[in-house]
Amino acid sequence: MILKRARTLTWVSAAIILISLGFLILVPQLFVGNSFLISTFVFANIYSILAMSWDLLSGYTGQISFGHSFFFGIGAYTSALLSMHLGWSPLYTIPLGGVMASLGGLLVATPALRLRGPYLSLITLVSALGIDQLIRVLKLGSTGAEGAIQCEIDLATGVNHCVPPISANEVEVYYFALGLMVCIAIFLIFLVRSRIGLAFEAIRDDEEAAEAAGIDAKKYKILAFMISGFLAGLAGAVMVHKMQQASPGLVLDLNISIEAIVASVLGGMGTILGPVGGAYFYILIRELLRPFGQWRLFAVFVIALLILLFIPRGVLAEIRLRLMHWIKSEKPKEPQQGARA
Amino acid sequence: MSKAGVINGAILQFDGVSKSFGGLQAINHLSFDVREGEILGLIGPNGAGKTTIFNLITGVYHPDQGKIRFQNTEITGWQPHRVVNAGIARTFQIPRPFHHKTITKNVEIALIPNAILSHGLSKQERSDTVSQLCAKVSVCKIFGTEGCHLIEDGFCDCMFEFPSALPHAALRNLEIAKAMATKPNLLLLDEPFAGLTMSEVDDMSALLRTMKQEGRTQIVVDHNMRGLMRLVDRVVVINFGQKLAEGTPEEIAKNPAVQEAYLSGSSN
Repeated sequence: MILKRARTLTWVSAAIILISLGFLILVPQLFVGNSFLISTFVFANIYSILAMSWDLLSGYTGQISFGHSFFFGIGAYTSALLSMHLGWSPLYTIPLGGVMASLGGLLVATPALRLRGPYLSLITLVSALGIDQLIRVLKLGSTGAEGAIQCEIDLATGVNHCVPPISANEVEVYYFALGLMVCIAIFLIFLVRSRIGLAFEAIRDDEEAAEAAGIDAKKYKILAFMISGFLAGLAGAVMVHKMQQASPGLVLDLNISIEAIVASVLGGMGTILGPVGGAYFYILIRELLRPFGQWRLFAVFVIALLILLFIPRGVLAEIRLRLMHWIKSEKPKEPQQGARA
Repeated sequence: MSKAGVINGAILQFDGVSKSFGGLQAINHLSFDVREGEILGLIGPNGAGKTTIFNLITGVYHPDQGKIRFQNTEITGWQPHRVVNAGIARTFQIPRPFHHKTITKNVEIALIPNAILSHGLSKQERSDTVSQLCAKVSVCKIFGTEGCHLIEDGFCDCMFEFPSALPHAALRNLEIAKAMATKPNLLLLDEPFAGLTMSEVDDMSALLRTMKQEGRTQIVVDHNMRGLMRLVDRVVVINFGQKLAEGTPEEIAKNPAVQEAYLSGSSN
């Protein structure tokens, strides 16, 4: 009975996910020529990747990061500089951005892992602030203004030289972002269900007990940092090719770190798909309700506060927990409990 | 469990170990052996250093002086997970389950290998091992079944239950199942009887004896002298981080120095 219910549930969730995915695949057909909306969905996918990457490190492994813009920015700048100055295709420079972000994570995380809890979070926050200033000081951007990389017109030829887009066709960019997001989601769902994911969760729940169970906590934490950094770096890299420019304000702002956290918390930490829902919710409200000005962001944060107060686990995590109770309440003696779920 | 390479039947040698915390000398030149296959009781008044000894063996603390050898390999200063994988498992004084994972997953966590790319056990082997361990310590008894029936594909029928649903005694059993999953040759039990009723103490003792028959050496720390003395083969008494006495339970019960330490301790 228990397993039967669990299997039914698996089918229902699979159906819901497939319907949502079907809708997302049809977006360019449903809103032909609506560049603004298609762009908004591209941003939603980028933020989904960022939020999932945060969820792996913070939701699953318990290493709360306040500075995911660190990875996002390293990926963004790496890809922007390589593609603009070496002329490489974004299809190569985006993964390289991820690799650089991953290495950046390794560099910062390895010494920081002896710290736990709020101290580790502070290290991530300060790292993000540090790289922001570094980029500004180095004046990496060819225009020299505060490290921004913008389009330059070559005076001799009159050619406008920008960070290249992934594709000139906005629909192709859309499918690239959606495809990447879906592949990463599938990868992460397999990862967290594997024994590696189990080790991550053991470390989150009780690091000392995990060590007592024979788990090399440091090794698994570094792995979590590197995978999370890689994915956030990919998100940042896609972002610069979408915007065709990079600047500290665009890809290194602390707001980005906060937005990743808000999206994950809204959807439910430790669920992978919850942060995707949270990111879509956040970006769609932020972009589609622009006529309401700053009020829309205020509204998002009020909703976030209400969710934190009443559904602290996040929306998807709460649904999952209730369904778990429903699966268990198989005894016909308790019809109310079954009916409620 | 192999006799090869073990001198004098000692599985663990604690050799002149000292550990201080600031000005407090918690362990002071302490030496004792644990013999292969025995249950050794470690007793002493509060603050004598019993849990510190466990933390030194498992690598949570590193000794200031002295050496710890396990099966003739020096393990002094090893990281906790390395000690566990060498064959020493522990349970905690206060049970520390992974609260957000189900009971079966709690046990499965202890089966995870550290080589990230190695396959380790197959999924089937893992779930079989988990079910056997859960059944062995009867962790799921509370859910109305005797032990843990294998209802389908080796799943345990408490696979959807979380540790928060378990009463205290079952949490202690879960700790033991987690420790056993690491396949230890030496098991360190920190107050396994704490908070248990008389009949639960008997059940726990029976479980520990069964494990002894399977060849698992054990060190047990406990304040429950009656339960402990009936269970153990030998006793080491610790006071102020030093060895006060060592011998069979009968010898220890008659030892005037031990009576002194305990009586003076309890009269305060």
